Amino acid sequence: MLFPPDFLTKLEYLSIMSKRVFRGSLLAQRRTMQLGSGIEFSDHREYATGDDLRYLDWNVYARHGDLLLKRFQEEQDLHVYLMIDCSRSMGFGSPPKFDLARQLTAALAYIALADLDRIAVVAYANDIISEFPVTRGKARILALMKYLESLSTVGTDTNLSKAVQGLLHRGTRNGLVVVLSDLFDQNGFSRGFDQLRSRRFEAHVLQLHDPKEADPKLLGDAELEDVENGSIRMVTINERMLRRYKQLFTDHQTSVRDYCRRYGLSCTQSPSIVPFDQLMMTMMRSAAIGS
Amino acid sequence: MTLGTPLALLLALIAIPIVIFYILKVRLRRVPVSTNLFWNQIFEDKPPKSLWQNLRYWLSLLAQLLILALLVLAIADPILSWQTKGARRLVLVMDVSASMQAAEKATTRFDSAKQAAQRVLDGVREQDQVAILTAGTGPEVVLGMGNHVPSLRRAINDLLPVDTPANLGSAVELANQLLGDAPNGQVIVFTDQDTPKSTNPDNQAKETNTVEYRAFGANASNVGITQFQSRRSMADALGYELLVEVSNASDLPIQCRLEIELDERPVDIFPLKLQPNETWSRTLEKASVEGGALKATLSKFENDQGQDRAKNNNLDVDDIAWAILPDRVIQPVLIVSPGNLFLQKVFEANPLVRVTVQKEIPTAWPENAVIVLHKLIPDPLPSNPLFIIDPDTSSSLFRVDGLIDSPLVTEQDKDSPLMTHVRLDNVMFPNTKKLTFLPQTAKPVASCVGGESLFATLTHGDKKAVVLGVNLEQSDLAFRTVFPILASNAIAWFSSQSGELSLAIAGGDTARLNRSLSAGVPPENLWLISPGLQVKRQSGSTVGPLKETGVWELFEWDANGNPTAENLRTTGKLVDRYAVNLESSSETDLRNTNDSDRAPKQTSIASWFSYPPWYYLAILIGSLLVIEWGMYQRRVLA
Repeated sequence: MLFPPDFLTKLEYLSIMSKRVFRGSLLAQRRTMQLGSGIEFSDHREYATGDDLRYLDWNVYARHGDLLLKRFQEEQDLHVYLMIDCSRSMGFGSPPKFDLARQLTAALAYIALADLDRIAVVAYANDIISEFPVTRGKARILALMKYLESLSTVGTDTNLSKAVQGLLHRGTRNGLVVVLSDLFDQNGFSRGFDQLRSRRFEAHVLQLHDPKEADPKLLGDAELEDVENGSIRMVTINERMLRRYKQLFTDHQTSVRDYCRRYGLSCTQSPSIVPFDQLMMTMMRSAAIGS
Repeated sequence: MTLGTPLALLLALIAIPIVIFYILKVRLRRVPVSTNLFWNQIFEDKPPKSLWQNLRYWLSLLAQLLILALLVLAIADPILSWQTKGARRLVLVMDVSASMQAAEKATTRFDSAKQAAQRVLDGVREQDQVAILTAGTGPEVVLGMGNHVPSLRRAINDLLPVDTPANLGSAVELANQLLGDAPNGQVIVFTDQDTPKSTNPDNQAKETNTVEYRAFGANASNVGITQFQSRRSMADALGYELLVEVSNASDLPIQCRLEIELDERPVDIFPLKLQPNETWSRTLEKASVEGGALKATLSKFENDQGQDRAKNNNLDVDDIAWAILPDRVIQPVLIVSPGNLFLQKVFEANPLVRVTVQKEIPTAWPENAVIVLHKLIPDPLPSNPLFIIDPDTSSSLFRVDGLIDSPLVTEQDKDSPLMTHVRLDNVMFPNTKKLTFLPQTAKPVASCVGGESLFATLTHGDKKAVVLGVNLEQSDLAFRTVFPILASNAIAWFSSQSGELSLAIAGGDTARLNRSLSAGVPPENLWLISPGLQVKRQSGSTVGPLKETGVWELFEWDANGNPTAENLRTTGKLVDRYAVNLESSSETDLRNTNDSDRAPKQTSIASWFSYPPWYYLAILIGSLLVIEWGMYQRRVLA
C-alpha cells in the first residue's frame, strides 16, 4: 500500500519536527529572494528619480550627504514545485523507487502546506505527463495523495530538461523546486538544473536508487532489458565488467553530488529501501546542520 | 572387442533429454535493468556476441554428448583381446628375517620393502593373479593366488618381521612351484640379502628368467651377539659356564660394552674394543646356586667418530641375548650305615646335598630323600631313590652270591651319566660282592673279567637305584679318588640334573618338550608365553617355532578359558623356559657383498597399457568434464 493508514500521522509528526528543526530554513515561512515592501532591511542603492522618498535613508544623507535608498526584503508565500520522475526506470527495484518518490512527495507537500506555502506537483518522464496545480492549505493533502496514487510509471525516456522547460513556459512563479528522480537521464541531468538556476529557482535534488543498481549480481551471459525503453542488450558479464559498471554508477552519483555542491543545491542520495520518514528526518537534520 | 555389459548401451538414450534440455537452457536469461546507460558505456566498443561465444555453446553440447558416450562405453565394460593375453602371475616373496628390521634413516628395510611391494600392487590389473609368501626360517604362504587388491594390500601391511634368519632359497622354490608353468609368471623377492644361487642348474636357468630380486638396505655397520650359551659346571656343583660371542660386522673398529645379568642382577661387564670383522669369544666361569634367565646386552657403541648409533649399530635384535641357567636343588640324603666316615664325608663334601646319618635301619623313611644303604639292607626296600653300597644281604633287587673271584674292571659303560669323568679301567676292587640283579631293567655300568657286574643301575618301582658291590674299606686309592665323583654323578642322576649344555635356541627353531618336567600335565593345560607376552596353547612334542627372541615360558594352567600372560604368571605353574636368540652371523652382518644386485629393476611394473579400457575412458571423461566445466564457467560466470 502506497499510503498506509498511519501515513498522515507520520506526516504530521514530520511537519512538527520540521518546525522545530528548521525554523523556516527549508520550506515554509521562508523568505523569498524578492525585494519589496517587507520590514527587514536588506541593503542600500543609489536614489533614482521617481523612487519613493519614504525609503530614503535620511540618516546617511545627514552624515554623508549621499542619497541612498533603503531596500527591504519582501516576504511572500513560497511556491514549492515537486517534480517527480515517472519514467519506467523509477518502477525498478524492490520496493520500486517510484513508491518512495511518491511518499516523499506527499511528505514534502504536507510540510509545505502546513506552513501555508503553495505547492505544485509536476509528474514527468520524457516531458510533463501531468501536474497537480498550485494549491495551498493542509486540506489539500488528501487530494494530492489521491493524485499521487493515480500516477504510474510511463514513457520510453527520461528528459528532465524538457520537463523543466515545460514548467518554465507555464509562467511559473519563482520558488523552490524539488526534483525526485533516479536521474538516469539519457540526455544528462544537468541541463534541467541549469535551466532552473538560470531562472532563479532554488533547486533541490532527491536522487533515489535501488541497491541492485549499485551492486548488480550479474555474471555470465544475459540479455539486459532496459525497463524504460525496452531495449535489449546481449552481454557476457565478467568480474572485470562488473567492477567497471560499479565504477560508472559511482561516478554518476558523484557527478550529481559535485554538481549540487558546485552550484549550492542541496542534494540527497538514498537507496530506495530506506523508509520515507527516516529519509525525511535525515534530510532535515542535514539541512539544519547546513543552515 | 567384446562388451562385458552390452545392455549399458541403452543408457545412450539419455542423450535425447540432454539435447532437449540443452537447447532450452542455452536461451539466455533475460535480466531487467533500470537502465542500460552504464552497460552501453561498457560494451560500446564490443560486439554483443562474438563468433566464439556462439560456437562454444555447440562445443559444450558436443562435449556433453561425448562424455555421455564415453560413460556408456565405460559402463558397458569393453574387453579387448590384448587384455586376456597379458594376464600375469606374480608371487611376492617378502624377506621377514631379522636383518630386515635394520634401521635405514627414518624407516626400516622391512618398511621400505613393504612400500615397494605396495607399488607393485599398484600395477596389478584385473586379469593378474598375485600370491604373497614370507621367507623366514621356512617359507610361508600368506595369501594364495588372487586378484583382490585390497586383500593383498592388507596382507602386505599386516606383515611383521621376525627374529629369525631367512631361507630365501626355499621360499623362491615354493614361489616357483606356485607359478607352475603359467606364462607371464614372475617371482619378486623383496630382501636385503644377496641373491642366493640355486644349486639345481635347471632351476637356476628358470629363476634367471622368472625371479627378480629387489634388494633393500645400504651398507650398514652392526655389532651383535652371535652366540650366548650357558651350562652348569660338571666339576663345580654351584658353578656354571657361559659362552659369549660378539661379532663386529662393520668396516670400522667399534667399542662397546657387554653386560651380563642373571635375573637382573649384574654378573659381569666387559668393555669391548672390536676391530673390523673381529669376533670376540669367551668362556666365562661363574657360580650361583640359583638359576634364572641370563641376559647379555650390548650397549654404548662408539667408534673413532663418536657415538653415532646409525654408523655403529643398525640392528637391535642381536644386541640382547638370553640363556637359561637351571636351578641347583639341595638334595636330602639319608645314609644308613653301621659307620663309615669316608662315605659320610664324601656326601657332606657335596654342597648340593644335605646329609643325615643313621647307624640302624629306621622304621620310617623320609620322603624325597636319596637313601644310601651301606651294608644294611632293609626288607622291604624303601620306595626312595636308592644308592646301595656293599650289601650284606640279598633284597628284592639283587641276590648276594659271595665274592667275585677276580674283581678287575674290564668293561664299563662310558656313556652312562654315572661314569661322567670316571674311568675304572684295570682297577682292582678286593672283596667285592658278587651280585645277581633280579629286575630285567638292570643295566650294568662296570663289569669284571668274569662278566660279573660290580656296579649297575636299575629301576625300583618308579624310582631309580644304583647298586655298587665294592667294599669301601678294602678299596684301593684309585677307587677312593673316583668314588666322590661317582657319588656326585649318582646324586645328579637321581635328581635328573645334568651338566650338559642347556642350549639357547636360534630364532625360528623349535625346542623339544621336556617330558620329565611336563610329566602328568594334560597337554591342553600347557600354555606358552612369548617374550612379547602373546599367549598360545602348546600342542605336540615340540615347542615353537619360536620366532621371537627373548625368553619363552611354558606354563601349566588348569582353569578353563584362554589365560592372559598375567593369569599364567600369577596362577599358573612354570614348567619350562626357553631362551631364543638370533644367533645368526649372516643376519648380524648388514653389509652388502654385491651392490650391483641392489639396483632396483622396473621390469615388473605394469605398463600403462595394462589398465582395463574403462580406466582410460574414465580419464577421457574426466578431461572432457574439465573442458566442459571451463566452458560452463565462461558461459555462466564469464
